Amino acid sequence: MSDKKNNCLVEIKNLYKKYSAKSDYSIEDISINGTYGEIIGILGHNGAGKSTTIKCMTGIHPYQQGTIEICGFDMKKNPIQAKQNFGYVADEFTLFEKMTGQEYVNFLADIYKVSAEDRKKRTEELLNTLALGDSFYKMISSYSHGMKQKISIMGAIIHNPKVFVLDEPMVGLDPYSANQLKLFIKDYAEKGNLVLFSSHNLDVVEKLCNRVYIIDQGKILEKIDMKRFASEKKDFEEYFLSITKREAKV
Amino acid sequence: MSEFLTLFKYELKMQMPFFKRRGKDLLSNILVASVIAFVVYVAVLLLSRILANYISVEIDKVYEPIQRAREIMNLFYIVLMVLMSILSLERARKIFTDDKNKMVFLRLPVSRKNVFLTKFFVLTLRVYFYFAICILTLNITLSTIIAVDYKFWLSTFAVCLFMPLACMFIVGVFIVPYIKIVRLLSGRYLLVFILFTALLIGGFVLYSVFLRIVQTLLTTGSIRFLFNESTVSILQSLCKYCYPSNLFVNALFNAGSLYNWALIFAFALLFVVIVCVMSKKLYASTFYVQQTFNRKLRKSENFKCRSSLFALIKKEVVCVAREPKYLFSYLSIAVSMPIMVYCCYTLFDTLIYNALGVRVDFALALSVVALFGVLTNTFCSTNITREGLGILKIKTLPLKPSKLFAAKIIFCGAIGSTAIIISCILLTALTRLDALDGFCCVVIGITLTFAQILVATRMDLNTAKFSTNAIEVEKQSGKTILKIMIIGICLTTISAISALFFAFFASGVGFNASEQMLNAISYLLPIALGIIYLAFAIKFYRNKILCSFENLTC
Repeated sequence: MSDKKNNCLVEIKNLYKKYSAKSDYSIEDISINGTYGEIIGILGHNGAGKSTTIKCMTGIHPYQQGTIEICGFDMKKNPIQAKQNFGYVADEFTLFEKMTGQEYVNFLADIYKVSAEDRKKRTEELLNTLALGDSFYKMISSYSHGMKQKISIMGAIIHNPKVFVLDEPMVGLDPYSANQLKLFIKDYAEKGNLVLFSSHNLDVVEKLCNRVYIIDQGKILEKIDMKRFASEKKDFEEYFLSITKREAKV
Repeated sequence: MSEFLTLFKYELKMQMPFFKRRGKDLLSNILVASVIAFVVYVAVLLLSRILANYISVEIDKVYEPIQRAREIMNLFYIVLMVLMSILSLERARKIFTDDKNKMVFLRLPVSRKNVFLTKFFVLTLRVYFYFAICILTLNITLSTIIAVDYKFWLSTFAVCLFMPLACMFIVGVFIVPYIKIVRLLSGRYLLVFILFTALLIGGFVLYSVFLRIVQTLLTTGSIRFLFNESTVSILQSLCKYCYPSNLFVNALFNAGSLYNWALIFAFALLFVVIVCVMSKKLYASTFYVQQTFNRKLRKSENFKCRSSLFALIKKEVVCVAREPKYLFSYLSIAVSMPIMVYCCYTLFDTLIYNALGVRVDFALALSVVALFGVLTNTFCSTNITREGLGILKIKTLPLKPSKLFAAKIIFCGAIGSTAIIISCILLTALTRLDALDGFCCVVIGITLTFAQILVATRMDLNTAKFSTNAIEVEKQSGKTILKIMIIGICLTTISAISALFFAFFASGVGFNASEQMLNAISYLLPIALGIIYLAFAIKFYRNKILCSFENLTC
C-alpha cells in the first residue's frame, strides 16, 4: 500500500499491548493518525502509556491487537519497509557509546542505505543545523546530555524519513538546547514531514503541536485540534488536568 | 560526623562485600562457607608441609630452624608486599576514578572531602584486613613447626599494624602517576591491545616454563630435594636485600629489636606523612578533574555506502576493540591462543608419552586446540547483552534480525577460526603433527567453534538483560558463560578421549582389529561428534529465534 492512498503517514488502529499474559493491558484501543506537515503530540502523565505506544509503533515492543501502518506499510507484515520510513529518538540514550559521532551516523546511513552523495550532503547540513562541531569526531561516551540528544537526532534523520518519532525529547535539555530542538522539529514538519512526539510538558506540546492526543491509564481520553483549541481561549493546563481528573493546585 | 559514618558504611559495603548482610539462603551460605574452609584447610596443610620441608634443611650439617623461618618469612612478606601494593594500586585507581557512584555523591549535598576520605579510609582498612589474614596464616603455621614465645605474638601484632603502612606508602607515591598513565593509555586501543596481549603471552610462557620445571622435577624425582643446601644458600643471600621485610622479620625474632623497631617507627612516620601529602594530590586529581576520554579520533571523509552486514560487522569490531574489558577477554586471548596451544601441546606431549608410552599427536592436538577454542569463544555468551540499551535502537532499524545475528556470528567465527588455523599451522610446523592431523584439527576446531558461537548467542538471547541493573546483568552473563564453558569442555573432552582411545589401541595395545580402521575411527569419531554438535547448535539457535528477538526489551 502506498502512503499517498489514504494520505496518512502514520495510522495506528485499535492498538492493544500488555507486557505479560497475566497482566492487564498497558495500552488499550489506541488509535492515532498523522499526515504530511503535521506535528502530533502524545501527552500524558508518567506511566500513562505514551512510551509504550511509541515503542510499539517503532517495533521495540510486540503488541497483541490492532494495526500500525507507517507510510502504508504494516509494522507486522512489512516491518523492514515500515522501519525504513521513520527515524526514532528514544527516551533514553540508545547510542553505541564506543563509536564516534561520525561512525554512529555512518553506521545508520549504511543500514538505511543512504547513497554516498546524499549522506555527504545530509551530514554537512545536519552538522550545521545541530551545531555539533568537532564533537562529531569524538567518542559518544564523552558527550554531554545535549550532545547525545543531538547525535541521536542526526542518526535518526540521516535518511530523511517522512516520519520522525521522538520519545520525551525535551527531558534533561537546557533552555537553549530545548529551544533549538523545538525550532528543528518545526522546521522538519514544515518540509512536509510528520513529527510525532510524546511529552508531559504541556507548554512544549501547546506551542508546537497541530494535534494532541491525551493518554491516561493506557487509553486515549481526548484528541485535540490545537488550532481550534486556541480559538476557544481555554487554559491548556487546566483543561488537561480536568480531563485526566487531576485537580490543579496553585 | 554522621555524614562521614553514612558514607563510611556505604563504602564498606562496596569495597568489602562480605560486610553486606547475607541473604536468607542458608544452603548456599553453608556451601560457600564450606568451600572457603576447605580451601583454607588445604592451603594451610600444603603450606605447613612446604615450611616443614624447608625448615628441616641443614647447612653445613647445622640445623637452624629459626634462621630458616626468618628466610621464609622474609620472602613471604616481600612477595606479599609487592603483590598487595600492585593490587591496591589498581584498586585505588578504580575507586577514585572509575567509581560511577562517585559522580552521584558529588551531585549530592555531601562534602567531597568526606567522600574522598571514606574511600581512602576503607581502602586502607581493606589493605590491613588482607595483610592480617596473610601474616597470621603464615605465623600461625610457623608456630606449629618452631617454638615461639609471647613476644613473637606481640611483634606479629605490631607487624600487622606497620606492614600495611609500607604498602599504602607505595600506593600513595605511585597512584597519581599511575592514574595519569592509565588516562594516557585510554583511547589508545592498539597500544592497550598490544600491552594486554604481550602481558598475557609473557605470563603464559612463564607459567609453562614453571610447569616444565615442575614436570622435570617430578619425572627425575628431584622434587624431593628441591630445598637443598645450595637453594637455601641462594635464598639466604637474597633475603639480605629484602627491605623492608627483613626489618619486620628481625623485629619478630628479637634480634636487635630496639634498633629495628626504631627504624620501623621512623619509616612508619615518614610513610604517614608522605601518604597524607600524596592523598591531597590524589584528591585534587580525581575529584576535580573531568576524566572522560575526549580525544578526537580519525576524521574520515569517506562517505561510501556499504552493505548493512558490513556495517554491523564493523560496529562489532569497533565496540569490542574499544572496550578494554572485551579487548582483553576476547581479542588478546584469541591472538595469544596459538602460543598457548603450542606451549600446552609440547608440555603434555612428553607427559603423555611418559605415562602411556605411545604418541597420540592428533588426540592431544585436538584436545588442546578445541579446549582453547572453547575458552576463547565463551566471550560469545555476551553477544546480545553487549549491545546494552543499543538493542532498542537496533530493533527500530530496517534490519532482519537474522542479519544482526549473522554479523555477530561472522565476527566471532572469523576470529575463532583464524586463531584455530594459526594454532594448527604452528603445531604442524613446529611439532611432529602431520598435515592431515593438522587439517582434521582445523575442521573439528572450526566446527566446534561455530557450534559454540551459535549456542552461546542463542543462550544469551534467551536470558539477555540490559543495563537496567548492572549487577543482575553481570550475574546473568556470568551464568551463561559458565554454562557455555561446561558444555564446551565436556564436548572437547569427549572428542579428545574418543580420539585418544582409538589412537591408543591402534598403536597395537590390546586389540587385534586392523590398525588402519582404528586409526580412521580416531579421526572420524571426533569429526562426527563435531558435526552432530553443530547440527544440534543450528537447531537450538533457530528455534523461535525471531520470537525471542521480538520479546527482547530492557
